[in-house]
Formats: sequence, C-alpha cells, structure tokens
Amino acid sequence: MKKNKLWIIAFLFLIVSIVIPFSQAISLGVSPASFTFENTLRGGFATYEGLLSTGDAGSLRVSYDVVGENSDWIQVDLGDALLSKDKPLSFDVTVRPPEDAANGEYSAKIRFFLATGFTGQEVESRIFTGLSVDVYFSVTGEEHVDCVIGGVSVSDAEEDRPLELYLTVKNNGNVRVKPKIDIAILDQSKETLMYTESFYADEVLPTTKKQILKEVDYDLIKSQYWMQVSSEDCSGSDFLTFNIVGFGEVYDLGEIVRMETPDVPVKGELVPVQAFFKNTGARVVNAKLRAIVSLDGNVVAVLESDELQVKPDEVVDLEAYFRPELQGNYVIKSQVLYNNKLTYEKSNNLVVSEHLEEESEGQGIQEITGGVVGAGSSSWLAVVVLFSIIILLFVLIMRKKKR
Amino acid sequence: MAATPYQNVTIPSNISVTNTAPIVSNVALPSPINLLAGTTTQVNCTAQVIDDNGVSDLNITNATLHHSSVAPTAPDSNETKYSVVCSCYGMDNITSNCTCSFDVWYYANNGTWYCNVTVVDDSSESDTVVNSTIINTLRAVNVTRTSLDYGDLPTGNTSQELNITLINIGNTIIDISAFAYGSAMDDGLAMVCDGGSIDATYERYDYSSGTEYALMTSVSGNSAAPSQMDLDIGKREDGEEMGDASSMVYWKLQIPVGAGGVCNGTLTFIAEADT
Repeated sequence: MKKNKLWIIAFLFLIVSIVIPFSQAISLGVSPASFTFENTLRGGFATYEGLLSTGDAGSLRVSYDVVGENSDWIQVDLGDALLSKDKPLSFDVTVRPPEDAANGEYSAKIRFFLATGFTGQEVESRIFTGLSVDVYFSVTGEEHVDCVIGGVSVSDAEEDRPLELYLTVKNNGNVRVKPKIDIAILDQSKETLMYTESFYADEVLPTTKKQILKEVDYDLIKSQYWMQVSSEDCSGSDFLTFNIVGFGEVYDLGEIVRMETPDVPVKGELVPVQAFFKNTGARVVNAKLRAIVSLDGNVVAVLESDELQVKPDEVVDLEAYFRPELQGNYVIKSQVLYNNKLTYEKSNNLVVSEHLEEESEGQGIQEITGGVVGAGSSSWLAVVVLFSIIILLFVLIMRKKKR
Repeated sequence: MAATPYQNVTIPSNISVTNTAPIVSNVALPSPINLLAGTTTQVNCTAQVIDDNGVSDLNITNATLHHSSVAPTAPDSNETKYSVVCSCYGMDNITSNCTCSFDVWYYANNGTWYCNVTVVDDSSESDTVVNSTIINTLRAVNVTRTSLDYGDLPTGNTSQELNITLINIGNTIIDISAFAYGSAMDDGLAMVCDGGSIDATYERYDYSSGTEYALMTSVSGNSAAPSQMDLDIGKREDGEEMGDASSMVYWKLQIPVGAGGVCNGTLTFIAEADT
C-alpha cells in the first residue's frame, strides 16, 4: 500500500512538473477599449493616448494591425513596443484624414497581439493573445474651436516669491488654440480685488492637452487669499485658495522613490545609474543626482546628473553614468540635491562581471516558449528533473528494502 | 486726603477663542484613468487642507472614491466604492498637503467617479470637497495556455480534446474571435508540416466537452473574417474569484492525408466588444 502511495506521489509530481510550464497563461489588456474622434478636420489630425498592460513578468513584444475602411488614415505609435507587468505600454492613436476625404462617419479596428513561441512539440498550435480596439471618427471641413481648462492648482508661497499657478488646457476642437487666461486675486474675505492679470497659454494642438506653469509675481503680505482662474476662449474655471507665508515657512520636500541599475553590467561598458526623484513639496524644485561609487571600500567615481526642474508631485528620472574598469561588487550611494536640500541616501550594490554571460544576452526581449519564460527557465527545469530523479531513486530504494 | 481723579476699576474680561472650521481645497485627481489588466491601479486623489487653528488641530483626513451609480455613503465595493485615510504632511503652520491613494481593481465600473475628501478637526468640525474623474473601459483577456500540443497523430486520426480557458480580466463584457494560420497570416492553414500542410478547416472547436469532431466548428483561416465565438464573458463581480468570469473552449485537430512530420501553426484569440 505504502509502495503504491509513493508511486502515486512520484507520478503526480512528474505530471505537475510537465504540465505547469506548458499551461502558463498569457494576458493582455487595453484601456480605453474604444476611441472616438469627433469632427476631425480634413487635412488635420487628432490623437488620443491608450495603455496596454499584461500580467506577465517577462518583457514581451507587442504587434498590431489596423483593419476596416480607411485604415491607412490611422496611425499607431507603440514606442519601443515592449510590454511587461511592471511596465505598461502607452501608445498613441492618431487619425489623419486626407484633404480630399469626404465628410462623414468612419470606423476601424486596431488589433494588438502578444506572440508566443513554439515549444517544440510534434503537432502544435502556438497561441497568440489579441485585443481589438474600436476607432470611430467623423470627418468635417468646418473648423471647430473647443477647449477646456482644468487641473488648476496654486501653491503657497513665501513673501516676495512668485506664486506658481498650474493649469491644463485640453483642446477638444479640430484646430490649434492659444487661449487667453484671466486670473484675479481676492483677499481672505473675498471682498477686495487685490490683483488681476491676463496671459496667453502656449499653443495646444487639436485633441491634445498641455500643462502650463504661470508664475504670478505680485507683492502680497502674509495672509490667506483666493484666486479666480477663467478663460474667455475655453470653458472651465476654478476658484482656489492659497497662503502667503513668512520666509522659510514653505518647505521643499522630496525623496528618491527608487534606484535602478542594470542587472548584468560588464566591465568597460557604460553603466547608467537612475534615481527616480519625487517632489513631494508644494513648489517647483531643481534637482540633480549625486552618487558616490566605491569598490572594496575605495571611491572610484563621483557621479552627477544634469539638473532638472521638478513640479510638485512629479517624478523624474535623474541619470548619471560611469564606466567600471574592474569586475567586482560595487557600492553606489546616491542622494538627490534639490533646492539646496539633500534626500536620504540610497545604497545599491552592483556586481560587474568580466564578460557578458550567454544567459544575459537574451534578456532584452523574451518570447514565451512553452510557458517557460526568461533566463531562469532552464535552471527551473533542471531543479524539476533533479527532484524527479531523487524521488524515483527514493521509491526504488524503498521497493528494494521491502523485498 | 484729596480724591484722585482716577479710580482703579477691575472689569472682568473673557475672550472666547472659537474654533475655525478646517477647509479642504484644490482636490485633484488624474482623468481619465486607464486601469491595468488583472490587477490594481493606484489612483491618487490629492488635496490641500487648511486650518487657521494650525495643522495640529487637524484630526483626520479621509477620502472616498465612488462610481456615479452609488452614493458616497454606500458600502465599500471593488466595483463601485473605495475608502481610505489620507496621508498628509504640513506645508506651513496652517496648511497640509494630503494624498489619498486608492488601489482600484481592474473590474471597477467604467464611467464617472467622484473623489470626496473630508477633513475633521479636533472640535469635530469638518469640510468635504468633491472632484470627478473618468475611469475608462478596460478590455482585457487572459488565455490559460500558450500552445495546444495535439501530440503524435497518425494521418487520418483525430486528436484528443484540449481545452482553453479565456478569462475576462477587464471591466467590460467581451466576446472572443479566433483565426488560425500556418506560416503566414491568411494562408488558410492551421499548420505547416515537414511534409504538406493542414487546412484551417481541420482545427475545430466547441463550447461543450466531448462533442464529436464532425459536429465541431472549423476555425477561420482568414484574419479579416475570424470565427466569432459568441461567448459574452462578463466582467468579474464582487464576491467572485478572477477565474469566475471565464469561458472554456474545446479543441480538436484531425490530420489530413498528405500531412506528415512535425507540424506547427498559430491560433490567435482576439478579445473584442460584445455585439
């Protein structure tokens, strides 16, 4: 009886070992699931952004086709076309009706595909996972102006420092817009008008949006104020409050949210060191990465990135580079300097190898092969085979003992 | 003793410093929001909270994110309503910036959503401000296999039945279409072999297990006119597991005369709008 149980366990283990890799799922998602472009101007263009996502950890290449009438009027920009669980892929869909396009309603479909490879079986259908996105658009010869302002925010400021006003202009029309924006500042009781100003926003292309930063330079004493933001050219308005505070009372805040270095850097090759810095404060800061690279306790390089302007809540990628001359375990200690403040230090280890190992060469793009994804798959299979052999040996020994 | 022109009089004076109610302003969140397939997406709703009694007077700032189909007081639901306590940090003596982070599930309803940010101070006075956003439709599918291995088959034989599960991992109902090809799209084949080929009509499917090969439906070999599987796979609902929003399709292959050796082909599944 016991012997039978052991055989069953061994058999089940082998079955699971074989079945699991070949039954790996593949997933693909797109949002939004449809795009509607209204009143696209003949000879003009309209564009929207979408997002592809997957639950698969490996980096997969996405392909696409466009089907339907006038599919050649539709362009898809997939960027590097690489998709993984950690890196959803943004894409742009652009409609460009030609000058001689007839007015009317049109539709088409964009189909995205994720490819898999063959597993080497005798008679096999590999499976591609796809999605279709519906595209509806109308073509017109009439110019149509339609824009909206939103995303308005104004941060607290110290006395004698300009106010930073952010707003987003969304162009829903089919021609370029450059709207005039009006601002009015009122006192705390909202009874006295303190200041007014009008300015023109940057030009915004049809169906796109642009964030605008306007510095309002007007001397206000310490107090709470209100700001009315509106536009005669666009719909939308906002009524916000802000404070003028004493010198030093507005804190600049920021943090390194993560560091990135290559997985398998090689001696003599340029290595990027990336710090993703987030401005968690209320005003714009100028930030740059400073990193100290050491090997066996000795400093081998001091790195500094370009300085970037970072808006509140924005995350930027600050990059610096170094070329390791020796193989070994490097330590990189990074800080970001922003408006004369420093973040906490982040430390990374970087193992630099002598040569590019064969396994690492294929890390860029993976094609799922029999569900065994990535460089770790061969070692995983080796473990499975080893375990199977151990169990079979164990079972054989047990059988022998019984006899 | 001459009388002094002044007289000391003590007048009791009570000043009652009343509490000032806190203010929520500048509530902002991204719009539109594109959800991620099969997982959660972090949605940050930010706000500024002001209390003239000082930031130390602020007790709690919380927020809800709810779909337009339910009230802000509705119970939490992955489809329609989320609640969180916000994370705030002082910007000056009276102002705090708050970030309210919601982990929104892939099957959250699409449409208009509202972020309500509420602040309560130590005197239980409160303020609430609302802003809206759009959660876009998410069309997404999980196919539970990366290949169909029909095994070694003699000419004229039909394979064992193999199944594929298609799971809806988005927030909108999906239909599935499928087409096959051998070596290049629209070649009309299911597979190309070392010797000969297998026409797409030999690769067949059905929605029920155990269906005779002759009664099954041939897959299309034309990418422009794929086989329409009217599966209507609804989105996941609260209380369900991910795999509940799924359909299974069963496949068989017959090897025609003239085909031999190793045979390979491609079967493409496309998730599309329900029609």
